Amino acid sequence: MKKWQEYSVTFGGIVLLFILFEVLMAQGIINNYVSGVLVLIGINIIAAASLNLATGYLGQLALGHAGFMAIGAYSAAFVMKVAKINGFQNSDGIVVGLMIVALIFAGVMAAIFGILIGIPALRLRGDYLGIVTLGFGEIIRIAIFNLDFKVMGFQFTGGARGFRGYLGYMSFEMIFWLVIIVLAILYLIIRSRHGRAILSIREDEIAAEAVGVPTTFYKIFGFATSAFFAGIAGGCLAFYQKMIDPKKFTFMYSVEIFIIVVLGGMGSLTGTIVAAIILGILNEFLHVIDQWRLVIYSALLIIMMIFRPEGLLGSKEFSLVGLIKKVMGKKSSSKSSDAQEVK
Amino acid sequence: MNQFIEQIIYGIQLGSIYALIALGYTMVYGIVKLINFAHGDILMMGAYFGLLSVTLLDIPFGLAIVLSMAVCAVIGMLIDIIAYKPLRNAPRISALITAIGVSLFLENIYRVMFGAETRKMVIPTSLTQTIAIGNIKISYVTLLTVFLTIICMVALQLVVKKTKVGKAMRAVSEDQQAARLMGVNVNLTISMTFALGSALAALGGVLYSVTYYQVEPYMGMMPGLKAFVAAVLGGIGIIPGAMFGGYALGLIENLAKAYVSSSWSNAIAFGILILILLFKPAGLFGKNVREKV
Amino acid sequence: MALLETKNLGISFGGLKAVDEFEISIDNHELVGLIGPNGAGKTTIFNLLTGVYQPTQGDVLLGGESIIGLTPNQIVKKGLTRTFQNIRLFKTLTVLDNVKIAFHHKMTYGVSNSILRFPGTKYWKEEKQIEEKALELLALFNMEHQAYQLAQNLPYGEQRKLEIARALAAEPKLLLLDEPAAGMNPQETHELMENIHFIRNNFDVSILLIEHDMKLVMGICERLIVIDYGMIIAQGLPEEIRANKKVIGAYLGN
Repeated sequence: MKKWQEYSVTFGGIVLLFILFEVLMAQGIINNYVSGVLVLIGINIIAAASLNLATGYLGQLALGHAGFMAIGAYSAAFVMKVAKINGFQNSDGIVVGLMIVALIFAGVMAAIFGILIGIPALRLRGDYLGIVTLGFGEIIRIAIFNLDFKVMGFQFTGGARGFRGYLGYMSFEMIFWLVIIVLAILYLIIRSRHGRAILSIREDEIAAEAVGVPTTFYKIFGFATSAFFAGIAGGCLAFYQKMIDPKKFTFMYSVEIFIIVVLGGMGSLTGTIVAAIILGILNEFLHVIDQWRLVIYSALLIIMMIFRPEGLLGSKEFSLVGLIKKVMGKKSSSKSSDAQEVK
Repeated sequence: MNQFIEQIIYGIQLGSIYALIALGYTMVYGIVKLINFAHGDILMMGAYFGLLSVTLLDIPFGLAIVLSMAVCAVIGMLIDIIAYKPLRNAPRISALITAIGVSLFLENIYRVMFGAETRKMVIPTSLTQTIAIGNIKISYVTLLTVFLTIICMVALQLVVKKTKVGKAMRAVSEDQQAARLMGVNVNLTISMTFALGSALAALGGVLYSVTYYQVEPYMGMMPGLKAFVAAVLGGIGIIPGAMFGGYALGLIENLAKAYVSSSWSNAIAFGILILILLFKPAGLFGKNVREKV
Repeated sequence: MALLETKNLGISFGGLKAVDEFEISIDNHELVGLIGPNGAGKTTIFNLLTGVYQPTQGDVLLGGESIIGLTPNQIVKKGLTRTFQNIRLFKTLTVLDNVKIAFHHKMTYGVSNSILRFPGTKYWKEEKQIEEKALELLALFNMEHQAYQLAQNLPYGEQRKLEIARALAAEPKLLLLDEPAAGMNPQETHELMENIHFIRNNFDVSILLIEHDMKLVMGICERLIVIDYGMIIAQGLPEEIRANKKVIGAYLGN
């Protein structure tokens, strides 16, 4: 199979999946409540996949992901608030365009912070980096509580009361394609010379440097890219919830995203999807016994680390093309870089 | 002026508690190179045990402290044996994730057991009184905190420097393999370290809850993180460094609260951590070691 | 002009001079051995040449150009690569990817091209090119059948070989090998000697190698540099070194 044929098959598969969802929704099998759960799962997939880039692929322990999401959430909401002040409404056709602008702005703002914190912090070794990112996440949260000044006629962050009254919404269709786009971009970066450079840093930084990989650049690049998509996830969350509660973006939330990455497998985007879905569904069932939820999660995390530290999927990826080849009984003979993930 | 001196005194009191917790962090890090995230939750458990022994067992406050320290020492050892020991040879990131897991587990299991609400710490009325030196009032709690901390630090120094167990600890933190070959029981030594560190954290927990009158499942998180900042400030793995870092952080935090902004004080603590790690990653007392190529 | 020249090169750690007054010159196509007792400072010299350590004195010229102050990856681009005493492979990546990563600095396509892979763009051309080059290189070392194995699953000797292949992939003018025969059995050492010869004859590269295996060193090096306590105590042809009293003294302790 040629490369473009493989890409087409994968894209076809995605479209089929989308149609399946649409049919289920039209039939009422997926009701409003379930589609709301799906949107949240989608947001978690984007957040966890972006964290996976920094932690699973680049190998840098980052415990402040919620901080980047918070920056994204407030940035996106800020844009939409300004839009509202200027007389736009959710029913306007142009709002979707504005939301895209807002999400890109959210990503860029988070990435800027990612670079600012990354340049100094990435000189540190694993556990110290973890603590610095954790501290950074807390600082962001405290800053949000305190930066409650008036700008353009509204309160900038809303402080502890939260931020509300901005345009934007998040439908299942929108999050579906956003998830696909984000995953595709991450996948394509990882399977390129830039991704190989990122992986080499995880494997052995000194050796990477010794074969000509500019490790400092790629550490910051990987970290900033991770922050960029975290910002987008935060923006999506702001759109979906229609109000931002600053108490959401605690260390605990960073850890929840982190758990998705670890359970799914550090270095596997498929694993992230699977884990986000499993935990998303589990969340719904554990809702009734909410207080046990985190007990179960944390126990799961400990047990996982002791008995299966590589996570559910390790670093394996699911590939539709690979599956088709397997089913057709052909041993994958074209072993180019993109077809390697066939397992 | 009086206010300034009072702030200094409160800073020393808070710093004592940070120092007690930071000691455990630093000892554990020194010996197994693990940031024991659950250490702050030992503090929380210490506070609960202190409260429970006073209210349920109705024993004197002094005895409650001892009991709480003993129980936490055992729990600390158990945590090591159950969660960390299987990962001794695993990548460090796995052990760290496990530590985060243990921390979450303890916080939430306590929430399930005792509820999320904040309980009021019961303290003997004699401790709530104050003495006045000139115009400055000092409460007995403050005196007790500072006094007990100093006793514990001296005792810890004696244990580490003068006893066989202490010698084994230093040997294991220097080189685990070599220590094993020299006949040191490495696992026992590590257990002892966890026990000692946890006992100190439990004491810190009781004193913390006495100072702030409250006990709740998540109470260990912030002081735990800040004690870690203190340990890093002094140079993680170095015992006098942790003491110094604890007092320094306590003072900085209290002065920041009084003279800068109380809502930013936590951000200032973390800001300090980030600055130290950037300019002196091995801490104020530590030596820089680079990876051998 | 010499390919590599060092002038009064030295480094001290906390007042202790680990390397001092180190002056050598290596020409194109030379195969030079760097020997000396344990702790003499051999690996430290490699770290100085490759930019891992910054020297406290002196200069390193590669092709007449000073490389002091450059980062290790910039020095690689200037044409100097190395292997490590304790093998440093990208363990959980495939053998092929290990080699491909070393081609990184020879490639130019950007991040946007990795995402938008339109037909005919640089991404396809360069990826195809390095895939072929990498497989070719592996074939030269009889490793092409292992291309899709994980590096960590290779036997020890093969791992050493892969590390050398990876260092060569960066197309160096000077290759530094840090104890390539360490931990090898006589059979593997013999194979390694042949490989080093092969590299010298088929690539446009000079080699500087640290080695303890005297049979290997005497067998393949054209010239030897002996150091002790961070200073050069002798230089010359293998047979001269063999008879040098100072060298014998350094090894046996006088």
